[in-house]
Amino acid sequence: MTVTEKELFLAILAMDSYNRGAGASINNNGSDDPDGLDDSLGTQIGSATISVASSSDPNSAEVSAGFYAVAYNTQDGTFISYRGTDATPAGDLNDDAHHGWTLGGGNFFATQTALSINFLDAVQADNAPGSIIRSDSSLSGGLACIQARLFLPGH
Amino acid sequence: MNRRTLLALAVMIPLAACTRDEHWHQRLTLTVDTPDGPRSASVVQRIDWQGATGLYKSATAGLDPGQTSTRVTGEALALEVAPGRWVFALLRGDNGWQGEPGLNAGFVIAVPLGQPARSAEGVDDILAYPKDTPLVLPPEAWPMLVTFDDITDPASARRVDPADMAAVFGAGFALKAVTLEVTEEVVTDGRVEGVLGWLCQLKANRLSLNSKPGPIMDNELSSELGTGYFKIGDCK
Repeated sequence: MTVTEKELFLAILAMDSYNRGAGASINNNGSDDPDGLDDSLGTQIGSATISVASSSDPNSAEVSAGFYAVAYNTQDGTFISYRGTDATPAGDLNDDAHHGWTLGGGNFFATQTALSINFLDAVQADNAPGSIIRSDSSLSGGLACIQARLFLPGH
Repeated sequence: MNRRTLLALAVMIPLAACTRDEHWHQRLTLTVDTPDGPRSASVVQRIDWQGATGLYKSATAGLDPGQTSTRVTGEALALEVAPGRWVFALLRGDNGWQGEPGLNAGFVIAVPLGQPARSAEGVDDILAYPKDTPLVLPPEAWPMLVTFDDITDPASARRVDPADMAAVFGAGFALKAVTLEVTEEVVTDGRVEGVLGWLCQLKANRLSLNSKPGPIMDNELSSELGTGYFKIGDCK
């Protein structure tokens, strides 16, 4: 199987949501750095530019539920990278288990499901086919799939 | 007990046994030169530190080199530098991890002793440090400072450059010192919400200072800042 340059770049973006914002798992400023890379709007990674980011406010619904996502404008369209299960800091794993994993068992009311839909809605309100590319892995894949079903029935 | 609670307990109970948990209180003091002389205020915050141990440490070794986390409970420092003009030292750093609550203590206590700021050894150094002994925080460990053009309007938040307070407050205003002490004093509670009358309502609705929930759509300070940078814990 040949991996195209586009697929490789999108795969990098899919993992980038783990490296930015609250609870990021990369220590770019020494081993004590808890917040990873900058997620200010307009920040670039390669040819992609961050256009929307989840709140990192400790009191926000997103941080309370262990949810984080970031959207990019890319030459291939808008790309949303949802952070899946992670363990940084340690309590994040509990948050993901409590507020996200139950989606896999059919709980469409899991908090992370609603937050991911709100995020998609903020990035683009319409449901034109092909206008949004979503990341896909584990918990975040579940979030992306449920949106595809809700916004694009039949796809 | 429903299925979701059982699943969460199944995950949390084994993990809870694989962490070391510590906490301390720290007092932040800000002193500002004003045309009417120096003014200062202090706030006491609680820091909870958690480090992975045992099986959990082994399992997550590749995910987070530090394998520790710090969490602050308390509120921002509120200092009235002139009648009706306030500056707030937020529950976050101004420029990098060194200014984050808890990590600032590690930066000035543990790092000079050769320990990473949030390591288990670094926390031992913080816990053993003499109580109520002020340490001067260098600029890289200062908290983010903000003010409000209109104290009744959260959207009027404005960043204050600690190196140039005069740009916001006028001639004669300058940041004189920022100090930190490990203390056993009780955590400050209720002062910041008394000054910012809108704080608890925004907090209860999980809104940013622009009064909107959800994702950040622009780089305005009021979009980036939420109530969690002013108060973490219950409102009175």
